[in-house]
Amino acid sequence: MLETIMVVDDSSSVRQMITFTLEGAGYHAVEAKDGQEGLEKLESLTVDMIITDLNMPNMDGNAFIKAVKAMPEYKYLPIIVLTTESDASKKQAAKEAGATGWITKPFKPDQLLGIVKKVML
Amino acid sequence: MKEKIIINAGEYYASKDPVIINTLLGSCVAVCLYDPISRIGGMNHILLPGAPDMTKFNDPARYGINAMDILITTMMKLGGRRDKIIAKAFGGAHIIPAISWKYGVGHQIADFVRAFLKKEKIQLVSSDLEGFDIRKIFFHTDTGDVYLKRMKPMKTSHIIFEEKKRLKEIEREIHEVTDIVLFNDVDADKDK
Repeated sequence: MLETIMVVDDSSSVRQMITFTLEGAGYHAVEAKDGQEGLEKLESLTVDMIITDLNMPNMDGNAFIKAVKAMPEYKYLPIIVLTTESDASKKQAAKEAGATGWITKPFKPDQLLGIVKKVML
Repeated sequence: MKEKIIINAGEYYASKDPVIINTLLGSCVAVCLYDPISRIGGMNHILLPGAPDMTKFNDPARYGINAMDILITTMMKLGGRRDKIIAKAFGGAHIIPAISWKYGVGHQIADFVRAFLKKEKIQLVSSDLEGFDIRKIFFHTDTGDVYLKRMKPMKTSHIIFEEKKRLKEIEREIHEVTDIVLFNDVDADKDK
């Protein structure tokens, strides 16, 4: 069965670009436009990993990561932050929220896939 | 008096205070984004390292998407709302007459901007794109107004030189290493 990765970003171009990269490597991608939509979709499907942006309307990345990690079935789910941010305090906050790793945009396709392979359970 | 900010190719600026952002455009395109509710405005100056492919997301497409994404994100962090943002776009002139306009950098960047805004459902309320003239634009971030001055290409041939120089820098930037951290694995960023 294909491993499913949820891609959460408020930019549809960025989501499509990540999905294109993941699907090209044989993963199945599910998209959500913010944390709120991400949580709604998690109610009806199971994912193996999440890649999320930080700055988003309705529910931002850190709030989303905390909410996902509070779900018993997703306590150990790998979550990678993919953002334009790069400062240390933001990284620390994401780590505390429960993120597994961090990639600063713009990402390179092979580097993203390298990290996905490495953290996938 | 509003503060004046000058940006060059590859740069962007956003503000919640009233400022005038100005830039000189040859084949590059400047996108002015404005949230009329919060009166926050921001502008970039896009130069792409080649023809962007928005279905296969090649380097130029990824570079352009990032340039737009970072401007939108900056405006959101200042208090702007993504769903309120409107756009105005300028530039994309055909400044090297030796090649057909269709293969010209200006047309490619203008096309990219139109495609990106459509995909993101950001309304392009006014634009002055392509053609042959060099443009100088002044964007008022508090009102969303843009003032445009046209110039004949022959008077500003240095802009072709400047854009070429900047393009080389952008091509280098594309190959810079991405910042990657794995929080529970201290060796993660050493072993790629």
